[in-house]
Amino acid sequence: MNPILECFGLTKSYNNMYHALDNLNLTLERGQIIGLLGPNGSGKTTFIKLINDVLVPTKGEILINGMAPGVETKKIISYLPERTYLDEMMKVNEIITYFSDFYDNFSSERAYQMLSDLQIDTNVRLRTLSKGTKEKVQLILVMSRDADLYILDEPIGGVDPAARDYILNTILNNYNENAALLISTHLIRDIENILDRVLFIKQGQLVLNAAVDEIRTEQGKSVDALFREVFKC
Amino acid sequence: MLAKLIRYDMKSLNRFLPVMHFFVLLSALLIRLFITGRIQPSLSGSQLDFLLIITFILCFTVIVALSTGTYLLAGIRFYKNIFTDEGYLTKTLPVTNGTHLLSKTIAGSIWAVINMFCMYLCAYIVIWTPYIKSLALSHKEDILTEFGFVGKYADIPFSAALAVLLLFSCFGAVSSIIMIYASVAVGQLFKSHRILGAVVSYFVISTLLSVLMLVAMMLFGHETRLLITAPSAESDFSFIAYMVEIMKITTGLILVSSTALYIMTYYIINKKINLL
Repeated sequence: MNPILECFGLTKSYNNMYHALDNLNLTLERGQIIGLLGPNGSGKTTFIKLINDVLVPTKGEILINGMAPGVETKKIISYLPERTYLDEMMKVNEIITYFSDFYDNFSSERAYQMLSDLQIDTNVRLRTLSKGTKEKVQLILVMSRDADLYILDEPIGGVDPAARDYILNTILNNYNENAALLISTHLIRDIENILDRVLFIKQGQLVLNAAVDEIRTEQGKSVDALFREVFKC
Repeated sequence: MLAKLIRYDMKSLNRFLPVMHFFVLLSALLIRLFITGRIQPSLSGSQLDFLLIITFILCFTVIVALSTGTYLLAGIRFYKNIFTDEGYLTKTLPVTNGTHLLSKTIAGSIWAVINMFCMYLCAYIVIWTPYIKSLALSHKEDILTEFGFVGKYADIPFSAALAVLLLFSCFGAVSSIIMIYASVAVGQLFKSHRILGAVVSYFVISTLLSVLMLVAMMLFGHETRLLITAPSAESDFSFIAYMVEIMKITTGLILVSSTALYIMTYYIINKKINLL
């Protein structure tokens, strides 16, 4: 089976001057939860956009399950951006129909179950919901797909701590061992316990790619402590 | 997938456009009922002038507002769905960028064509009162001669002329949608103020096309001044012959420019988008 994600010399620059990503080489295997960590402006979101074919690389190559980004890779990637990307005029149940219309691997039953667990009314328009509830709806939609690669950009940033536990459990319960989950967040302490591997990105370059257990045993530090050390201002 | 995309694009446009068109048709009926329907031979010259001016202003306002609203909403849908936060979902659906563009062009064009038919219907409702109809029919020969329906154009059935006009208008409606989408896409190349960039792009593109049209007309010897200088009792100038030639040139230009703009829009969506 192909690695879920491979990058070869991946570069994204703007106006041939600013390198948002610079010569990134990386291979990620399935069956792990990976934390994509770095300070603001380090290139995390650019990297995520490139994987999702929202941006085109300046140089280099990116492969998802051995394929260049395109229609086939979009079928197997479930992406949660850091912003509300749904049509706010639509009702929650209409959005569920929308997802099941376009994604063959979307489970409406799972989505309705999770919405019910969080007591979210499915008959209301998205614009009437609070920011946190919208984020929950989006996460539920993304995690209701049987994808090979889940990419979550700041999935818990806007929700209350009580809902965070539910969301993290949702993430853990809804991805299978053949899938990989890439999470970008600043709330390292909150998700550290569920991570298998971390990637540190600094100024568009990969500065660390290590298993969380290695960091704990070899360096005797938590990921949060190592992050603070590496990215100390 | 294309059918599903069109269904959702139409659904989004259907939130406002049917209501807008209904109110415009209602306005046309009211204008007919209270203004043009009251035009009678017994009215004095000043009364007639007043009614005609009011009719012209109201019709012009209503039709311009309807067209602007329709094209604006189609442009907004295109902009929001592809270039704003919604673009993160649109761009990650398992569909090619070409299919997205085609879907939005088809959905926008359907409404542009509906809008065009609605405008013609409004004009028909407002103008074609029993009195004006009888007046036009009693002077049919004079009107047809004045418009140049003589010689080889004398035997053209009304239905055929109407069909050509409608077909040409449909063609124009589709090209307008393509031009609006191209303007929105070009606006995205600006670093900031992208909506303003789209508006400026629209005016630049439409000005460029007007200049091209003018040059093409001059090259083929059909300057617009002929409309003013040529018609006279002695000249053999035919309005309809002139318009047929203009339509041929316009059709060619629309075909070339729309194809170029469509390809450019596709290229921008495919290669140049950087969602903020």
